[in-house]
Formats: sequence, structure tokens, C-alpha cells
Amino acid sequence: MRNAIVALLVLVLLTLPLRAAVGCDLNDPDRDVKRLFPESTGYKTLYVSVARQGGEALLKRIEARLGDPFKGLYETIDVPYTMYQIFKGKDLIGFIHGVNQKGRFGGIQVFLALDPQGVIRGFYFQKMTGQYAKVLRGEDFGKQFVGLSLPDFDKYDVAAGKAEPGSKVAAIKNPVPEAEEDFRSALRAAKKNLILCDIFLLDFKHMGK
Amino acid sequence: MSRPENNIRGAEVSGQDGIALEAKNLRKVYHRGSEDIVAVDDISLTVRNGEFVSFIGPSGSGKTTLINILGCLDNPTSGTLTIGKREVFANCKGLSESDLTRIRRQVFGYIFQKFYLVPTLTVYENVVLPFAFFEKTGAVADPMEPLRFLGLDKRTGHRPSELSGGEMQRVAIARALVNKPEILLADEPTGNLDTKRSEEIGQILTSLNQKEGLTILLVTHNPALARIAQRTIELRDGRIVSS
Amino acid sequence: MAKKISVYQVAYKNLLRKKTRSALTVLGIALSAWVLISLLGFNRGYKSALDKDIDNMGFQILVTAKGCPYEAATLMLKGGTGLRYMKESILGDILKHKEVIEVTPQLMAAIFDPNKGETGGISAYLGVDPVTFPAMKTYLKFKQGAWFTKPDSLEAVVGYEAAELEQREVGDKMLIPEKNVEITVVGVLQRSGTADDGTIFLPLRTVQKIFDKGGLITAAGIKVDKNANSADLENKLYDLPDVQVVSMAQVKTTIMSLVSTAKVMVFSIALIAILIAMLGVINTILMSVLERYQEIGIIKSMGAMPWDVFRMIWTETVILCLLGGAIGIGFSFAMAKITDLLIRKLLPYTPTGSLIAINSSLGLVTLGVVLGIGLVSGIYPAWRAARVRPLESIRSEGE
Repeated sequence: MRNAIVALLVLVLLTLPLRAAVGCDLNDPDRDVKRLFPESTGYKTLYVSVARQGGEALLKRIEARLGDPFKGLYETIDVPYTMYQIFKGKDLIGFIHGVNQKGRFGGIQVFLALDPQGVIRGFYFQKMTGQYAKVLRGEDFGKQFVGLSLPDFDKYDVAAGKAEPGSKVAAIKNPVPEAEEDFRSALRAAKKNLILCDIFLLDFKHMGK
Repeated sequence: MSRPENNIRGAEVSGQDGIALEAKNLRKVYHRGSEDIVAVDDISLTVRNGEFVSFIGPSGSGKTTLINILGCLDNPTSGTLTIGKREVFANCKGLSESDLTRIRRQVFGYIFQKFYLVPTLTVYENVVLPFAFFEKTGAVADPMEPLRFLGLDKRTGHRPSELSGGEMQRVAIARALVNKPEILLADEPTGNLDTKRSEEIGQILTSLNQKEGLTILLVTHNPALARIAQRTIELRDGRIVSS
Repeated sequence: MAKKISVYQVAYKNLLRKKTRSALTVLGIALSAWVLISLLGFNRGYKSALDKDIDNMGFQILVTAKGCPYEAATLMLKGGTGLRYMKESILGDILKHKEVIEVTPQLMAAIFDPNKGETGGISAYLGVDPVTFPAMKTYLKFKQGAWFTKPDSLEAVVGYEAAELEQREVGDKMLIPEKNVEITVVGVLQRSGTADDGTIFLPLRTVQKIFDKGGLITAAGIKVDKNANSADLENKLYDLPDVQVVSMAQVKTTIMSLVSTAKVMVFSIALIAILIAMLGVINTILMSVLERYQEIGIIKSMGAMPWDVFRMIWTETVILCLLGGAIGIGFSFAMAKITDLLIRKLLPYTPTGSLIAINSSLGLVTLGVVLGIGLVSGIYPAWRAARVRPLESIRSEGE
């Protein structure tokens, strides 16, 4: 019996459970929707992808708007995006969507809660790795994004990591200078998130058909 | 599959001196608790080859019991039965079901009041069904022959549910004929048919007897049908009252 | 020669009389066949997946520090510490044995990461010797990069799935939480289908330094000469102080015996399923015989011997079982992946390979078993049918 435990321990330790990440879903939709939209009574989940919606042509438009090419495992053309439509009774009161983004020390997941016009009403990191993660995951950082929308992020150069002076994005401050890379990742993730929401939830409201 | 047999244990079937079957002192007694019911009481009769004999009598007269014994469907309590040259029942020795089957399939064809067609088989398949189990030497080479004779050649692909009562009985007759029986045993064949169809069946039996020389034993409670036979034997209380 | 009909055709058509009843009976048999072949496939698949996992460890014997495994497990799950350690000098003692070709030290370190998941989780790192470890695990291939450049560098080689999860490529950084040590990814492995896919490898010295475990290891993997007597070596190794010798053969046996208890239970359930299917077959055919009592009597009057009738009814049973068996087996092939997932949810430990190893020979065995059951089930109804006397069956004609 003792040997059995040791054997199992050895094998289990060498195989610590890994959840293969596919897409970016809320960890607990019932709980998280209620937290982000306390007034909500229900939600609907949609699964979309660039491949099905517009293919290569759409991908090119997204990259152009983002100002950065899609790369890596979570930015392929067929990545399934999970979109949440939030309701109060029969009224649509907003959306939630999360994206994966590469961070300095590991993957980052950025979730935005939007109102029906696509304006941010909530921002949070569902996943982040790093010694400064705690600060960036704090409420104060996320509050800086509230009220912004996609046109605001057009003033942010993702590749260079620079915002147009005086713009709303420029007003977003990095509380931890040492975590500059993750800060820039957060902004890229937010912009990407808004672009995807604009396409799949707002019917190209800002992107234009 | 079918196993052609020439004879039953070496004995020939065809009767000596034109006698198809001969019964002597047949008795059949049923024991019901403490009561003994004599269904067939000391009956003797002879049927010649090619003869058409009808058995008539009220319900309980013993006609079906008698014909069951004559047709080797049942053992008598006592008495003898000779079919052709072969002694079937003698000295109170009953035969096993297998032995009875061997005799039956060489000698007899049967038709009954209920047609007993297999509902999932077509008319043709019902007719050739006996060949799945036994094919007698000299059996019909072309199963369409009896079907044509009986006017069913256009209905071979139909299922029994698509046939009238008269047609179903004709299929049963065709089935009984494919192995070229020596004796056709018909037990109330028109019991489920109307007058017109009953007459048709009567005509068919007459034709089989007169044209094919088939020996026929017919049980009926219908006097009109009984009259088509060459000889009518009347039974009452297990005994022959007139012949 | 005009077309005739065979007993087998008659039997087959008899089954079409009550299509729903026949279909439900076939379904019952199919379900039993599915359960049986899945079990047999699991029996074979689990073992071979386990064999593969263990063989892929690269070494035949693992030596770990002696200690209470229950305590270690609890501490591990709670706080990432509590593993027992051995002195590195033990490697020299192990190498003295002539049966040993090579030995590779390992130091497992685990630490609580508050940023992992919702409420934090354990991050584990495996310190390995850059010379001996790759030599033992030759099947490990690189998708990007290579092994560490120095024996004490702040470098990591990441398993395929671990890299995917954290989106790491060569050149990226990783952070060891709490210690706040940055390490650089120098290699990402190709998918190996083993536990290594989820492992983050660091140089042994690096892990010893970061976690302050200088001169200590948690395990030593031993490659044994193929021609040597492994059991003998194990006995000798037990003489080493404060160590536990875990033979991979023992691991296999232990896990298989743990699993076999579950298997006995599941086989019992399968047996019950098969018995129920058998009863279903008996019931269906018997009902069919009783419904066709008079017809069977007439068939007897046509010249069918008892054996002919027995054969006809028995054939109906065989057809039902063959059909049900084939459907169940086909279903198991199609559903193998889903069955695999189901079992993974149920068992506490499952090896990484495919758990359900179904192939055509297993299919044939299952079909044979189902057919055998069918033949047995069909005996009674066929015997009842064969005993029918024409007179009794048509006696309802009355006089």
C-alpha cells in the first residue's frame, strides 16, 4: 500500500494537471456575469470565429485596425471567440468578451464588460502571471478603462506602445513601471477585444462594413 | 435443407390392390380426470386410391379425431391403421412424433379451416415453404404449376394480407400439393369462407380428385360440400352411422 | 430449377413480423456488446497506455527518499513543500552496482502561485541534470531551442502543453513566484504524449539554488542493464539508508491492481447487462414461438422434423445476436473517444495514452461472446418450438 501511494505520488507530481487553454471563457459565467452586471437577469453565449465570419479578408482588416499582426496560438484565424450578450428581462444591456494575450511571464486574459454602444463599463484580468500581477489586477487599474471605446483606442499605437498625447488612452497610467511589458500587453488586449466586439457584437459599428 | 426420401424405412407407400388406407377397430379414448371420453369408438373403414371421401357429423361426433388419426396427426388408443402397404398403428403401439412426421411428409398434404399462411412470406414463398424442410422425390419441379392450376400465378408476389379468404385457402392448397402427396386431408377447409368461395374450393377439390386422381379425405359440417365427394361417411358419438 | 426458400430465409423473415420488438431486442444486445468490447478495450488500452507512460519515463527504477507518503501528499497539496529529500551522494552509491548503466538525479520543487487560476495554485518545476537526463529520455524532441546552456543557468525547457498554456516561446521569460526569479525559456519540446508535455524543466543546480536545497534531490532515475536482474538490484538498493525503491514494474502492478478492483466492478455490471440482454432475447423469441404455435404445428405437418424447427428458431436468435453484436461493436469504434473521456472522468489516475484500445480482433472476440450467449439463450425457445405437436397446436379448431 505504501508503495502504491509513493508510486501514485511520483506519477501525479510529474503530471500536475494542466488545463489546455482553448479560447477564452469566463471561469464561472453565472458568477462573473452577475458581478459585472449586477442588474442582469440572464445572458446568452455566442461562439464566433474570424474564419467563419469573413476569413482572410476580415483578418487583414482586424490587423490593420489593431496596428499589429496576429501571431501565436491564440491569434489564428480559426480561434473560437466566446461572446456573452447580457440581458435584463428581454432588454440587451451589454456584452462581455475575453481575449488571450501574451504577457511577460505567461499568458494574460483580459475581459471587458461593454454597454450596448460598445463603451467599456468594466475591465479585469482573469489571468495574469508576474510579481506585479496583484497591482495590475487591482480595481484602480481597471477603472481607468471605464468609458473608453474603440475610437479612443485608435489613438494608441500598439506596435510602438505609444498613445497620442492628450488622448483618453494616454491618460491610462501604468502603476508599476517595472511591469511595462504587461501594461502594453493589457492595452493591446483591450484594443483587440474592442475590435472583435465591434465586429461580432456591434455589427461593425466603428469598423464599418 | 430439404432431404429427399424415397420411402419410409424401406416400405413402399402406394397401396396394394388400390387401397390408400385401411383402418380397423380404431378407438380413441381421452382421460379427463376420472372420466373417460370415447371420441372414436371402434371404427373400421377403407379408402381406395383416388377416392374422395367426406366425413360429416355434428360437433362432438368424432370426425376430426378420426381424420387426425387417419392423417397420422395423432395416435389411436387401439386399433390398426395401414397406409398403403405399411402398418402405421398396430398392437397399441404409438409412434413417436418424428416417426409420424416421416410418414406424414411422404403421404399427406393438409389444409385446415384457418389457412396458416406465414404473413411475412409472399404467396410463392408460402407455397415453396415445405421444400425448406423436406423435398420428396417426385415433388413438383416447378412450383408455379400448382399456382397456375389454382389461378394464383398473377399473385405470387403478394403477401397473405393482400389476399381474399378464398385466395388464401387456394395458396394453402397449393402449398399442400407441392410435395405431391398421396392423400389430401382437408379439415373444414371452407369454415372461414362465404358460400361462393366455398363452392370454388369445392370445385377445386373435385378437380384435383377427378383430374389428378388425388385421394381426398374431407371433414365438413356443410352437407352441400360433403355431397361433392364420392362417398360420405356420417359419424355420431364416435361411430359411423352411415356410409 | 425453380427458386426455393431456405430455413434461414424463413427465420430472417420471421423476425420482421414484429419489427419494433426485434429492433428493441437488437438494441439491448448492441448495448451489451458495446459495454463488453469497451471493457475489453479498456482492459487492454489502460495497460498499454500505462506501459507506455512508464516506459517513457526513460528509467526502470526510481529511488526516492523514504518518508510518510501520506504526509508528503498532504503537504504537497497544501503548500508545495514537504517533499522528502535525499543527499546527492546517494548517486555514487547507486552507480557502484554493476547492473546500473546510468543514474539521473531529479529535484522536484513546487510553490504556491497566488496568480494561478481563481484562488491560486501550485506551480511545479523539475530540476534535472542536463547531461544524464536527456540521454535517458532520447524520445524528447525540440519544437524550438535546445537544452540548457549551463548546469546552473536561469533557463527553462518547457513541455509542449505547458508552453501552449502560457504562450511561451524560446526567448520568453517565466517567473518563479514568491522567489521572484526570472528564468528564460531556451527550449520548447514537441508533443510527446507523456507527462513531460506539462512539465517545466530547469537545471538541477538552479532549482537547488533557488529553493535552497543544495546537495539534495527528491529522486534518482536508474537505467538498468537490459540483461541484468532488476529484482536483484532493487533488493540491493533497499540497503541504502532512508530510501524508497520504486520499480516501474511495481508501479505498473500496483496501479493495475488498484484499477482491477474497479474493473471487477465494471465487469460485474457488464455481466448483468449481458444477462439482461440474454433474458430479452429469450423473451422475444419465446413470445414469438408462442404467438406462432399453430403455424409451427402446420410447419411440422408439412414435414419439418423437430430439428428443422429447432434450427429455424435458433437461427432467429443467432440473427438477432449477430446484428446486435455488430451494431454494438460498430458503435464502440465510433464512440471510443467519448468512452475514453468518460473513463478519464471516473478514474483518479489515467495514463496519457489512449485508454480504449479496440481493434478488429477484439471485435471478433466480442462478436463470438455475443453469439455464444445468443446460442445459449436460444436453446430453450427453440426446444419449446421443436416439441410442438401439430395436433395440439391446431386442436383449437374444435369439433
